[in-house]
Amino acid sequence: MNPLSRWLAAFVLCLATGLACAEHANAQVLVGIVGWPLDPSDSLRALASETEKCLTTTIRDAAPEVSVVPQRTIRDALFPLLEPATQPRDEAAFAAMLARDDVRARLAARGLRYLVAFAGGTRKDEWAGSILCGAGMGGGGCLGFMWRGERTVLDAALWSLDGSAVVRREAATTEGASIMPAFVLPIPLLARTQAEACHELGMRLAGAIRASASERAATPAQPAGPRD
Amino acid sequence: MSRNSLIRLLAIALAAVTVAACGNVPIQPPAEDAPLFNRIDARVGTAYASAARLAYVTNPLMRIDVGPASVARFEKAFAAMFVETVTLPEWPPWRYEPSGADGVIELERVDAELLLGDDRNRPDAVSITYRVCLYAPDGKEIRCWLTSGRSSHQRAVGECLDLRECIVPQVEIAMREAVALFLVAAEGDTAMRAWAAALRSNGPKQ
Repeated sequence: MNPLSRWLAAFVLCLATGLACAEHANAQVLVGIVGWPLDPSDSLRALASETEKCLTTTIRDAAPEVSVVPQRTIRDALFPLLEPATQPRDEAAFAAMLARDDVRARLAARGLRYLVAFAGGTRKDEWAGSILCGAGMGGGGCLGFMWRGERTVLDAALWSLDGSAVVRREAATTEGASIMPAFVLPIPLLARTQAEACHELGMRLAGAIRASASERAATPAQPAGPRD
Repeated sequence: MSRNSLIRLLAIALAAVTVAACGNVPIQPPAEDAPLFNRIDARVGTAYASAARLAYVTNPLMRIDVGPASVARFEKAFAAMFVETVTLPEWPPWRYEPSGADGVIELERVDAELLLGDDRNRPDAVSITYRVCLYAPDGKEIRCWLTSGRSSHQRAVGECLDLRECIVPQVEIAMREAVALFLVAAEGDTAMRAWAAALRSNGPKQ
């Protein structure tokens, strides 16, 4: 091979590798999201929730290459295994469910590589303080001050659907207070701990998904061996 | 047309629009995916009693036809449970007309209850109970299951000003839960597995 041919071959190889890398960087990573474990006393969250909506939006904004599949789709695909009354009781049972052949086939058919299982919520204290309101012939109004503490704790586990194992755990906690000063009219100024915690967790999950996907891309593929 | 007649006509039209707006509430159909179930090698006839097909919950604001939505879900469930299912006609009753199947599975009853709460400290609650029975072709009971699903939700102030936004998903969740419990119970049921094993050991039907 003459030097010119060698140079041309090297150029074509570099170009092809570069294109492959660019293509890989733009490859969509499909991630399912599901609330687990669910609180059976408020099962309305099983099909959709504010936290799910907020996490999905945050992950999508932070990592546009990640597509989040809603929990309704996941629950439908795995029905009847993930309903509030039939959901796995602990992490070992959740891992065992993900390792089932039929479950793996269902999730693989949708191209899913990861599953985010999130949990947590907001605890609100009772209102403290007081507001007095009155009215007379000349008019009326209120005077006083009330406040209420609020704490949101959210956590999530990122499950790899290849090995049915948790690859990352993330959590976010925020505290705040809602206040209601009243001078003639009461004005409620509500804390946004839920939105803040959710945004923080979503950003961390986006980073974790991105890191895990690139680690996996960098690891050479191993031949599949028998499962334990 | 006199003025009174016109007013009466307008009132009737308004009432009709109101009833239409607050009348029957549709429930989302079941998912396209078949439920996950370790399929049983049997050819089974499926039947839905009228007490199940026509069940509904109602209150002054809405009426939710739980029966048809339940039947749609059980059609999927039964199809996932057995290698082959055949829908039996409503008439004549399957007990009087041999179907030639290995057995008959019937959704016998759907009981639904809706308790409206408030936006302070009383949650809305929906409960759905199903009775499903598997019979041998001669009508002998092999196994019956009674499963219930329940969903409750405490509305916040200003949440669900249109109550249907909260109640319909709760009905759906309760139905899903009851069907899911049935499927999980049936999958591990020893009586049904023994019946299926006996079918296999007796060889194919002539």
